Amino acid sequence: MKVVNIVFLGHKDHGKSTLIGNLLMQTGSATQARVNEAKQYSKKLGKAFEPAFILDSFVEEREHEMTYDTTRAEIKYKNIAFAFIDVPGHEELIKNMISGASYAAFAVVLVSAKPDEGIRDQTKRHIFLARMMGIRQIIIAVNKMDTVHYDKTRFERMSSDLSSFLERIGFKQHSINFVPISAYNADNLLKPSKKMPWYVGNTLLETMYGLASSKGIETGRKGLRLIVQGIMQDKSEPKVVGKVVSGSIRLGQEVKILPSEFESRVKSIFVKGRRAKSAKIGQNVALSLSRLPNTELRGSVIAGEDDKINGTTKLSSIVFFTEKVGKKVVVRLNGVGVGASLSISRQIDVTTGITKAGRSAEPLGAAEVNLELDNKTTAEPFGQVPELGRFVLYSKGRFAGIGIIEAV
Amino acid sequence: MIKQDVRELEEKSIYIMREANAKFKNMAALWSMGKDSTTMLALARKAFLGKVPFPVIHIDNSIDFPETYKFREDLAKKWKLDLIVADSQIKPDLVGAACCGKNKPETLKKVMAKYGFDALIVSIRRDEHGIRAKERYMSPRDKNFRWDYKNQPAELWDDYSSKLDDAGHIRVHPLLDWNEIDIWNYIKQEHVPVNPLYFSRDGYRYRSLGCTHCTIPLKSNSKNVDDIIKELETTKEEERSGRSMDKEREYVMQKLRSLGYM
Repeated sequence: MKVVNIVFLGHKDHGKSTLIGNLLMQTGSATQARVNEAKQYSKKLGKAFEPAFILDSFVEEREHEMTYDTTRAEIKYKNIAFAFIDVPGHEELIKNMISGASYAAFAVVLVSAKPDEGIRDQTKRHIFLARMMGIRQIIIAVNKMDTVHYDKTRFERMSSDLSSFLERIGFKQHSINFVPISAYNADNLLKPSKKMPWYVGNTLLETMYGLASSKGIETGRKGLRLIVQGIMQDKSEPKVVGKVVSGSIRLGQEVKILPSEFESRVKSIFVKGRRAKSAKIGQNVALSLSRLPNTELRGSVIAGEDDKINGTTKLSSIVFFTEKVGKKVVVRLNGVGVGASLSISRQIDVTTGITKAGRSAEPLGAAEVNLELDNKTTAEPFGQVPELGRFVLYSKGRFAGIGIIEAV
Repeated sequence: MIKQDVRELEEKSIYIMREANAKFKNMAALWSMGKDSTTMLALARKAFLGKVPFPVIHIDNSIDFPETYKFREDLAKKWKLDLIVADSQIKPDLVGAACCGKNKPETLKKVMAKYGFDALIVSIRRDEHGIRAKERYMSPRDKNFRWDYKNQPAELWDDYSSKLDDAGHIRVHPLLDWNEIDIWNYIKQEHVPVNPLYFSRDGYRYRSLGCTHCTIPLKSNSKNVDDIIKELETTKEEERSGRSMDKEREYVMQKLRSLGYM
């Protein structure tokens, strides 16, 4: 069974946990013990059955009716298992949302059709972050259609309101899907809703299935890129361990170790403990090389000898800040931290996608940023090799944001 | 139960263990001789060219099953494990969750302090229990072993948390993404040795192993790995249904984990 990670985004009262709980139930993916536990708990609180309780596994969450952290659950639909990463909708835990979104193939965003709820800035901020982190396909589930008498006009107005924002931040029109639902009443989740005959599109699950079974969008990656985790001492000679994130590596290949551009040759390759002639993208390897530099190897990148990639000290990037930062920051890239000076060139309004002049950035805001690194590192634009084009920002020892590299 | 691609899971576990090994100076692993932590050791042998490079700790309360002790001795010898047996005293006035919540973490604290370990590999899986879904691949525990699940570091892409200033140690979870059935498929594929208690005798088998006081076998005729895989493909029972402490109170696992239980 193919497992596809997805992420749910949306404001805390817009029904994420209810939706996921109901999807788990409708598709028979929750164990009977879980469902019974949720039923008993609803009863104990003197409430009608609340599907959200299937998911919210912490007592605090149930009692405060919100999700504190990422929760993982899997739901089976046809031959796909969706791993739902439920992330909190409230602002202070945005780093948890980032953690959840970083593993997702696409995003399902819940917005409430209820007139006093609507599309919130925070929801747009989450969508902006998801897009920035490389999510290219999105489903907007317009929830609580039951509270607006399943009104077609309301659905269409919300869809068009959001469309312009989505396109401005980089979603292609054909990658945006809108589905009207009622998470609580299970309208348009598994079965087409009889209450919305005007809607002729796919149900939510069918739309998700379509995205999950479509081929991913090709990135520009081609040449060998291997991120080095470190050195492992082995009987006779040390082995370089790391993961191939682009291209492939083969025995006898002439390579260079970046950022120092130290040249070497591949003498042996081990994959999962066994000797191999080559290794491809996604594989973890141990290598012996004809010669090794005396410098620290963790965080280095191995590439083909003739490859154009070089070490760099300048990164031009888009950064989303979770904390207020000063000029001095630490950029974590390829598993190691490098000191850097940060300067902001333009601010980005994450609720509209519009940039404007500005030299500072507030927490939960984004900006176009230039970074001058204290030491040479290896990086490439995110669009070419995502693994080498993204970083985590630390300020005064604290997690302060994430960044995407546009140019080196 | 959802079956995943074990080759992919294997890659991820190898990556996490190598990452931890490169990051931490003095790492150890917990080994209960159960299927999960034994699978973790098999994965470590793949990641580190046939050798488990870190010490393995058994928190021994002396009431494990005799089969478990024999399994420990045999495999420790065969795989040349650096085994640390930490004796944990059973107190007659503490039973069930209170016993697991107090005795084992206390012993673990002592052994961690004695050897100065800064990281500990624990073979938990997200599908075991709701609360385990909250864990990260690398989760910090403070000096009192408490888990602040509301304020965990961000963990994204392949960049796992750095050590927090006030953290006692980091829990490393290489098997977090595995499901129970994936473990058995891997055991089958790689011929990982397993404790014989998992196989049916007189119509019963253990699906999850704790110590003799708190583990109850379930009705099953699964006599080998293939039978178990078939059984898991259809079962509606939860894995830890034979572990009495999980049921004593609602949210007992939550309490146990924030107290440092494994």
